[in-house]
Parts: sequence; structure tokens; C-alpha cells
Amino acid sequence: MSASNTGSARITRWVLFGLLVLYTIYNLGPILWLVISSLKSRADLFAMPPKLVFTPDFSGYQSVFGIGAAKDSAASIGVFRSLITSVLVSTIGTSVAVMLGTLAGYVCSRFDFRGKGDFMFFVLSTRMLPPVAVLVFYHMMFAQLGLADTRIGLILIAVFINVGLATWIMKGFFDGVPREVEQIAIVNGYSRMYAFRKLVLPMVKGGIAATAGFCFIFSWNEYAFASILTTTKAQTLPVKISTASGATGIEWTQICAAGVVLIVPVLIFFWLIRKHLLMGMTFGVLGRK
Amino acid sequence: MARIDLKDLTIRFGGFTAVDNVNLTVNDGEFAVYLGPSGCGKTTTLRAIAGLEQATSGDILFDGKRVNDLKPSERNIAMVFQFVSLYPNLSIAENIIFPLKARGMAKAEIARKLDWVTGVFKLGDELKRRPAALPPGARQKVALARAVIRDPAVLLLDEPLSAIDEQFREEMRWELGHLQRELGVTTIYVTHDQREAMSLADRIVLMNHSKIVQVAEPDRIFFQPSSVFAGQFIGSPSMNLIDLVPVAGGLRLGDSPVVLSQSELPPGITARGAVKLGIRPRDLRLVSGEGHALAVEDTFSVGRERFFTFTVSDQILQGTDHRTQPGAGSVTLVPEGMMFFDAETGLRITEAAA
Ligand SMILES: Nc1ncnc2c1ncn2[C@@H]1O[C@H](COP(=O)(O)OP(=O)(O)O)[C@@H](O)[C@H]1O
Ligand SMILES: [Mg+2]
Repeated sequence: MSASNTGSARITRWVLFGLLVLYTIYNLGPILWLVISSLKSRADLFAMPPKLVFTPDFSGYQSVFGIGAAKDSAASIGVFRSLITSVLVSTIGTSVAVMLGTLAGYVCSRFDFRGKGDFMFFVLSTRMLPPVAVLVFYHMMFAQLGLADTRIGLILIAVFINVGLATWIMKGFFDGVPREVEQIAIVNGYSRMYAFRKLVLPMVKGGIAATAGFCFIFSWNEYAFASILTTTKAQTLPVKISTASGATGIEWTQICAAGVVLIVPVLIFFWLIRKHLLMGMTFGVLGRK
Repeated sequence: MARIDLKDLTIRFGGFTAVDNVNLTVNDGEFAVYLGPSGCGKTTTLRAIAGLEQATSGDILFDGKRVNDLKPSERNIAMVFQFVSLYPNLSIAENIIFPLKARGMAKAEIARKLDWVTGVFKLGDELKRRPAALPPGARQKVALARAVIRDPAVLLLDEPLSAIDEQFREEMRWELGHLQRELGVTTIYVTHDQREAMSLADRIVLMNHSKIVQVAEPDRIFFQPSSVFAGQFIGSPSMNLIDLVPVAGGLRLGDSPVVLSQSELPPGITARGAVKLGIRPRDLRLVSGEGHALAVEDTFSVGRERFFTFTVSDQILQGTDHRTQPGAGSVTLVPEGMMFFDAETGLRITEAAA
């Protein structure tokens, strides 16, 4: 009885294990293929049957990072410039959005003001908006303002798509800090500004980092706005990858290398917050002790 | 040191009145304990005294001076909140001297005060540690140390011991009472625990539904409760309440055969409307078979205390008796323990008023 039980339990375990392996291959396979392809020369890339053993060719990465001869070669599709654009837009956009979101989140957590509920909803609704619905108007607006195909324009977009979410997440973290933290300070003659900067902010450090991570990923991955609002000069990496072709046709090696580079920050971020993810990704619970 | 007066203090949040027309004087150096069920407005009152909540109407006076418009920092009060609120990124020492830093006190003076207060609270070994490294009881000690280090005129304590283990709480309660007498600082202490109030208070301010119900010394509030609420909120186990039924010759205890004769009742009481009898479990005695007395249903012990129960009008009532008598099966009432309440208003009927 017990022997057959353990026997069937073992079979169940193997079946489950097998399914997990298949699922992992299904998920990781394309990424692995991408990584391998990014290291192949054009000839190896199109070899039939596909080569598993080959001499790695780093020209794709060289052009992405703008080093070596590959950067200036005729085959270069300008991914390096796109990388710089992506990094600038994401970091500056994230910084501004998190700064504004932190201030707004604090106010929404601590003060009652007329229309607060509506304000909070409006702020969140900017996040729910399907970008495609308004793209045409953004396109016209940006053209009028001279923001089309500029990094500044994309930074504004990055702030716009993130500030609402940042406000909500940060409000959650501030709600987790007892009001008494400031009140003790105020009773003792400190200003609220002092209490906010020196006492409350250090208590939500983790929250700010997590919010920044999310905002960075969102603007890093942002495609809809960037694809319509840029043409050549200010293309971000995702846009560049989707449109890239050089003088010698589609540069698969460069595209694959750019794809790998695109994935890395996402991996790093989720690796950093993996502990919190295990506890459940509810905003506001995240990082609370 | 300061005397505090609350004059017609009312605080509303939107349509909800959290503090309703409260009048109170807390004398200089007094230890007043605000007692009442959760949500009755204790914290709100305390926060208003601190200046963290605006009075909707009425005045708050410190030593006769109106302070309604003074900022919290100008009122010279110190406050300890229900939930520990130390600063996790500051050391214990930095937390304690936090109030002194704000006033730019000289280093030597700060060191001297820190020395004194850590001696009082026996926190000498913890000074360099972070709050997270301390158990909750010790953290609340730090919060208390932070409150008294600035020599406040008024000490406001909002359930400061509620987050602490039972055993440690007793000890802290004792130390707190001792410290308050030593410092002589006017103290208002909020709690919903009547035992805590009874052991700490010079005077208890009993609150219910946003209003003050009774203000009295612990003994007096216990022996002379002004209403059914006061009688039942204070004392454990709780005061028994029995409907009195008018019959020829007196008032009968509910559906029981026991009748209180005119001579056992306050004069004039039978002429009133419905009346209830309040009697504490300690004022019920177990005796052996007296013809008409109430019959005991069950007896049990908790620790060294003996309890018994009996039923009147389908209500189970409880008594305590320390003098064990074998075979005792009936309950009698100690005449001095009988209290009469107006069934409508819940107010106590004193002999003078009756
Ligand atoms: N800022 C506020 N806004 C709205 N209602 C409040 C606020 N503060 C307290 N209250 C309400 O006032 C009542 C009394 O609260 P409180 O003074 O904290 O009670 P207690 O301390 O006696 O438990 C509660 O019903 C509470 O919900
Ligand atoms: Mg309270």
C-alpha cells in the first residue's frame, strides 16, 4: 500500500519535473537563441543546418557599445546612438518621475485636500490610457512644439507615463510610515520639511528604489510613443531594433546583440527585488517591515 | 508644570463628533487617566491638547492661557504614542536626545541629561544600538525617555504600554507611576484598560461616546459609579445588573423570589419608574440554605479565586467569594454593595436625589 503510494508519488514528481523542464525551455529557448545569434557572424547565422559550434563574433556588441571598427563600418545601423538615447531617456525620465511621484505621494498620503480622490484617480488613469488612442495627437503636438524626434520629447513622455504610477506606489509606502514619525518631530520643534527629508525619506529608501526600478523598466521598454514620435535622431533601442536595416540589409547580429543589451537591465532589476517578489508583489506591502 | 483646562471642547471630523463638549481640569502635577472603550475619543482629545488636532469649538488652556492657536512646539508638551515611533535610522541615544537637538542645547548639557534619563530607564547598555535591535518593551522605554528628557510642562501618553508583554507591562506601569511622582509633571494618560487606570490614576476621566461620563478618584469611581456604564466598565468581573419589579412591599429581583423590602431600599425609590439594581460580584455571598435566597448553579475556581453563577430573569450572574463554606448553596446580597440605577437614563439614583 505505502510502497505503491510512494511509487505513484515519485511518478507524479517526475511528470511535474518534466513539465517544468519543457516550460523552462519554452521560455528560455528564444532568449538562448538570441544570445547565441548575437555572437554569430552573418555567415554562421544563416548556415544550414544551424551551427552550434562557431567562432564568436563580437562585432554586434562592438557596434551596440560604439567600440572598435564596427561602429563606423558601412554595416553599422546606429544602435550605439540608440543605446545612448535609451539610457538617457530612461534614467532622466525615471529620476524626474520618481522625484515628482515621491513628493506627490507624500502629499496624498498625509494631507486631505479637495478632490483628492479624483486627483488620485486621474493620476492613475494616465497609466491606463492606451497610448495608441492618443498617438496621433501627440504626434501633432510634438511636431508643433519642435519636440518630434528629440530626446527631450521622449524624456517628457517617460515622465508622463511613469509619474502617476510612481505617485501611487510611493503613496503606498508613505502610508506604511506612521504619521507619528513627523508628529513627534513637530511637537519637538522641527519643521515638517525637516521631518520629511531626514526622518520619513530614509524610512522609504527601499520603496524609492523599487519605484525607480519599475519606472526604469517601463520607460526602457516603452515602444508605442517612441516609435511614432521619433524618426531617426532620437530613436530608442527598442525602436531601432524593430526598424533596423543598414546599407547591406538587415543586420541580424547587431539586432540580436541590441536585444541582449535590452534584456539585461530588466534581469538585474528583478534579481535585485526577487526577495520582495516572493512575498507578493502588492504595492505598499513591498518593502514594509 | 502646568494646569490644563478644557472648556466646552468639541472636535468634529466632517459630520462625526469625536469629542463632544468636554469640560475638564487637570491640576498641576496630577496624573489623570483618560479611560474608555476604543473609539470614544480619547486619542483625539489628547491630540487636541498636543495641538495636533484643531478644536472645532471650545478652548484649551494651559495655566489659564488659551493655547488653541499655539503650534504644538510652542506648548511645551511631550507625547508618547500608542505605536512605537522611534526613528529606525537613528541610534537609541540619538532618538532620546532628539527633542534637545531641536533647541540647540549645549553638548555638555545634552550629555548630562542623557546620562540622567538613561539612568532612570536603565538604558545604559542600549545607547549605541538601533531601535530594531530592541524588544518592543525596551523601545517604548526609549520613547518615554525621549518624552521626559525635555522637562515638558505636560506629558501626554497614549496607551504607551499596550504593545508590551503582560509581564513587562506591570513592571513598566509601576516604574511609570513612580517616575511621574518624582518628576511631578502634569500627566494625561490614555488607556482602555480599567486595571491600568485604577493602578495609575490620581483621577480617572471616564469617557464614552465622545463624552465624559464621570471624573473621580479610582476608589470613588469604583464604589460610587455615576451610571450603569461606569459601574460596568470598571471592575472585573463586571458589575451584575438586575431588573427590579415592583411588588407589594418592595421590589423583586427579576423573576426570582427575592424581594427587597422598603427598609432595604433608598427612600422614595418605589415611586420612580423602572429601576435596576447593580451589584458587584464581590458583594455577593455564598451561604448555606436560607429559605428564599437565590440558588447557586455552578461554582468554579480560577487560580485562588472562587466564582459562582446563578440565574435571574434568564441572565447568568456572577459572584466571587473568598470564604469557602462547604455545602453553601444560596446567594445573598451585601446591602452596602447594592446600587440603584434609573433604567431609562442609566444614571445612578443616590439617596439625596431619590
Ligand atoms: N482624522 C480623523 N478623521 C476622521 N475621523 C477620525 C479622525 N481621527 C479620529 N476619528 C474618529 O474619531 C473617533 C474617536 O477616535 P479616537 O479619539 O482615536 O478614539 P480612542 O482613542 O478613544 O480609541 C473614532 O471613531 C475615529 O474613527
Ligand atoms: Mg486611541
